[in-house]
Amino acid sequence: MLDFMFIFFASLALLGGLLMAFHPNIVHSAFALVAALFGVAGLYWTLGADFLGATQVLLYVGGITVLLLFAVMLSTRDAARISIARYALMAPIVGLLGAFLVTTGKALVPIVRAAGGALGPTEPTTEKIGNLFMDPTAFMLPFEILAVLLLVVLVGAITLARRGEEDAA
Amino acid sequence: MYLDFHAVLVFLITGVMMVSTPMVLGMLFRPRNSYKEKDMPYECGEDPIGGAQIRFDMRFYTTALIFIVFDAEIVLIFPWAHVFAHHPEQGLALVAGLVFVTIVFFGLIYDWAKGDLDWVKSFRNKRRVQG
Amino acid sequence: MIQLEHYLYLSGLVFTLGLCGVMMRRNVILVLMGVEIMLNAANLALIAFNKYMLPIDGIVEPKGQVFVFFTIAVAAAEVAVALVIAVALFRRLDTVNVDDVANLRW
Repeated sequence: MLDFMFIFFASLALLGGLLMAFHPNIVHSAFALVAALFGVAGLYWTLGADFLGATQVLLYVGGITVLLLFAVMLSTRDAARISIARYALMAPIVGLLGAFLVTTGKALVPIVRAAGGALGPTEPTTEKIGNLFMDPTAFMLPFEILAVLLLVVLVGAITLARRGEEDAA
Repeated sequence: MYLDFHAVLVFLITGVMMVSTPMVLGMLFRPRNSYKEKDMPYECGEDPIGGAQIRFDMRFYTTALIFIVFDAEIVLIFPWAHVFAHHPEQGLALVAGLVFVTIVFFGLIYDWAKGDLDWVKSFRNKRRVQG
Repeated sequence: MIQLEHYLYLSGLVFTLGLCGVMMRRNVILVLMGVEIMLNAANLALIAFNKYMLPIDGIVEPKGQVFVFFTIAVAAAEVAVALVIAVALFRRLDTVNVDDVANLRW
C-alpha cells in the first residue's frame, strides 16, 4: 500500500514538475505546479509527516498558487507563450546537475544507514512540533522571528503593491 | 499501524463519488441536442468579448497577499494551540504565542490604517488630497 | 519496498525539474514557480532524512519537520514579495521577461 502511494504521489510530483517546466502556456504551468505540490504533500504523508502535508496543501496548494495565478493575470496581456528552444543549450548543464544530485543522494544513503535509521512506528506529529516551537532551547526564537518576517511582508509587500496601483492610476 | 488516514481516504472517496455519480448519471440519461450557443459561458446573457486571461485589478492581489500572510500565521499558530490545549500550565507557551500574534497584529493595524483592506479607495484618497 | 534512497532520487529529480524551469523559462513568474519546486524538493529530502534519523533515547524528534515548517512559511513570504516585485516590474517596464530587465538602473 505504501509502495503504491509512493509511486502514485511521486509520479504526480514528477509529471507536474515536468509540465510546469515545459508547458508553453504559463497558466497551464501554474496548474501543473498545483499537481506537483499536491504530489509532494502526499509524499510527506507517506513519510508520516501528517501535519506538514496538511500545511503544504493549505499554504502551497491553496495559497501560493492562487497568488501566482493572480500575478499571471496582473502581468500578461494574453496567454504568454515563450519559446524554450532558444535555451536548449542549458540542457546539458541541467542534466549534469541532476546527475550530480542523484549521485549525492546515493552517496548519502550509507551514511544515514550507518547512523541507525530505521522506520519507527508513526504517530501524530502536531504536538511534537508544537513542543519544539515552545521550547526556548529549541525553536522558540525562530518562531518569533517568523512573526517579524510576516509583519515585514504585510508592510513591505503591501506598500509595493500600493505604489504599483498609484503608478497605474 | 501506519498513521490513521482511513478517515481521510473515506472522505476523499465520498467526495469524488458525490461529484462523479450525478455527472455519470446525467451523461447516461440526458437528451443530446447540442448546438453552438449552448457552449457559451452566459447562454442567456451578454456575448463575451476577447480572451478570458485578461489583466486583473490590483486589489485582488492585495487581498490575496493579506490572505496568504494570515494563512501562514494560522498554520504556525496551530501547533502552539495544540500544545497549549493539552498543557495549559505552560505559562511560557502562552507568552510566546501572544507575542507572535501581537507582532503580526501590528501588520494588520498598519494595513487597516493605510486603507489597504478597503475595496473602495476613492473616498479616502479624495479626503487625503483635500486635507 | 520504498527506502530512503528512493526519496532522495525523487528529490534530486524534482529539484532538476525546478532548475529546468528556472534556467529555461524567461518569465519571472515561471522562474519563481521553478524556485518553489526546488524548495519543495529540498523539503522532501529533509523530511525523508528526519524519518530515517537515529532516535535519541528511543524517540525521534521531528526537527527536520520543523525546518520544513519554517521553509514553507518563509517561502510563502518570499513568493508574496517577489510577485509584487514582478507585478511592479510589469507596470513600470511592460515586461516580465528576465532578459529584458538586465539593466542595473534606468
